[in-house]
Amino acid sequence: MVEVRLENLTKYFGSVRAVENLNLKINNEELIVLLGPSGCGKTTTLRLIAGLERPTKGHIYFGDKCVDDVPPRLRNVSMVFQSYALFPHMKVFDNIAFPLKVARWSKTEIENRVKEIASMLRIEGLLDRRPHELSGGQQQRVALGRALARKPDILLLDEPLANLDAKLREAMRGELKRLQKEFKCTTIYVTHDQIEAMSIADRIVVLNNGKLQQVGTPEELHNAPKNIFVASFIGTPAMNLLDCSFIEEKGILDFGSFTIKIPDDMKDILSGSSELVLGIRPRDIKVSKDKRSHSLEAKVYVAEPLGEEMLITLDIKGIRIKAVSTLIPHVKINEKLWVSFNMNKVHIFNRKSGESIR
Amino acid sequence: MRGEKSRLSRSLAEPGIKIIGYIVLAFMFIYILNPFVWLFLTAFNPHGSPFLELPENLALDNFIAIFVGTTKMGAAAHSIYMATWIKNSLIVAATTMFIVIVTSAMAGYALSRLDFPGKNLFMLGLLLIGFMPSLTKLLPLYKLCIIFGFVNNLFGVGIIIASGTLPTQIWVMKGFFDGIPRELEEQAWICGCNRLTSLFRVVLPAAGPGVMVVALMSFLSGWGNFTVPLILIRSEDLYPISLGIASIFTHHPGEVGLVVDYGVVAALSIIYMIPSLIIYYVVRRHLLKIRLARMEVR
Repeated sequence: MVEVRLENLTKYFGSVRAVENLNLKINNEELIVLLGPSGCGKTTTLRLIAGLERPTKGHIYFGDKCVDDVPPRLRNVSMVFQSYALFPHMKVFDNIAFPLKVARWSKTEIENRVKEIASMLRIEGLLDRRPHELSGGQQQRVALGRALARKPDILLLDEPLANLDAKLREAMRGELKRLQKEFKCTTIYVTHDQIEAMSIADRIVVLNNGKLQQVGTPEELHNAPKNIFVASFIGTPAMNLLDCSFIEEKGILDFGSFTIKIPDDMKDILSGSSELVLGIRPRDIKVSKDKRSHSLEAKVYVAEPLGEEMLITLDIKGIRIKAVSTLIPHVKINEKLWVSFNMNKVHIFNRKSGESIR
Repeated sequence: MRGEKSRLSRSLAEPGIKIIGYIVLAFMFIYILNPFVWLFLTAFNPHGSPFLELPENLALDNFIAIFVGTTKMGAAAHSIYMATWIKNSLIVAATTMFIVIVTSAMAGYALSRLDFPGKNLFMLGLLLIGFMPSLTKLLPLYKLCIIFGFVNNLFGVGIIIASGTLPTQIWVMKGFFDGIPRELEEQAWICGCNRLTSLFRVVLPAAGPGVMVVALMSFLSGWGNFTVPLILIRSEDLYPISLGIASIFTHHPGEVGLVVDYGVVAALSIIYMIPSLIIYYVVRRHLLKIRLARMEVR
């Protein structure tokens, strides 16, 4: 129940950069997801906020208070580790009650609170068990219960679902989101799974190599990625990224083996740049069996049915792209198809800087 | 080929070799167990003597004699001392255990978790001291004991024994701490603990088996030690069992010139042995887990 502000936050381990110059404001009661590939600095950022690591440079504010010199035990944050870190020598009840005991709550208060939390997480029946007698999903709930028990200002979750099986992960995802809105504590959630991030987050922070790439709502990141990294990281199946150059006098994008004519409004934006990357999501590519105007000839490399849709990998004169299309019956390998790009949904990036142009 | 070979090895292991193996084993069995059998038979024989003999009837007379004395002519005085010897041994062992646990827990924790200048040197030093024969340190230790008033003092004896076993136990404890995930501790900090409370509320209990092994091993080293009390303890009423048993044969406490009552001595030896047996039984699973932590050289 507090706002978190990171100011020029930087952390080096020796000469290894983990987080560089991170500026971020996390709103009160918001669920924010730190997303990035492993080693991108997301867990380090979380540990910095928890107070388990000291920033090399920069400051962390909880509300108006600078917490740089506050030890973890006084920050009123809770954290769920990826391994859950349940205390193996304590029963579930004592695990959940532990932070309350340390904070010297009275016995009846502790009992009431633990029972309340347990019933919310539906683990009332497990209070007498020890952690090693629980399944992964149950352990996860206990860890969450312990984190929520003492009403923390900030809840930190480090890949909380990574150790669960796929089905349970999906179920817990929704439940976590609900719980967070119920408890109303500012939550920072770390994951490398973009689908998880998209489904749970109010806002997503994409990190790579310790640097902030983009902050925004899941829709913003999906529809308007700021650079090639975000574009390639977000979305399933991943966005097609094709190297091309802009030939201004003809108003076309040259891909080497084929060219595409671009609409007039794009010409002005692209004027002056030549080395580009065109990005297009597989769902924005139209595939048909008949030739249409402006469509390109392509050969089917492989087709994978996804239920209602089909993921088709196509070969356009040596360049491979992926397209998702509603089921076209009997697609065979090496069959000839016609594809066209939805130019309104195309993203254009500067190949050198990786920044988005359109 | 393979079939032939296995048939060969099977035939080798069959009758002849096997019987020889059993004979060797039986011989070793007798060789090792003979003193114990002798001891047990004598301890439960009301008329125990220095000779191996089958008792006519088994009875606890000798054990009773240790605590309440005996009607046997001239042997009564032993009991006054023997009961106190047991008590003294317990005091020494408990003192040793207490000091070793508290000290090795904190030192082992520091070595496992903290970085400080000279850490590796310190650990090598500990190892070296642990390997040295304890008698080499006795002269300076004796001088120190006089200064601190440890002479003729059971707690002093415990402290000195603890100082001897500590280096090894610190290493053992460090090994156990190394096996406890750091996250457990970090979780404790986030839950509101500081370093010391997290050590005693989370890390030590989580290292339960390790702490128990260290506790029991240090208890035994205090219980069984002979040399340290031999040098520091003067009065017979402060003897621990080890010194007491020896003294029965060198001079008879209380009443010089009496005959040694072998039955009672055997019974006392059995009592002397009991902690080892219990502790072996409890610890045997955990003993396997002791692994000396590898040195981290950077």
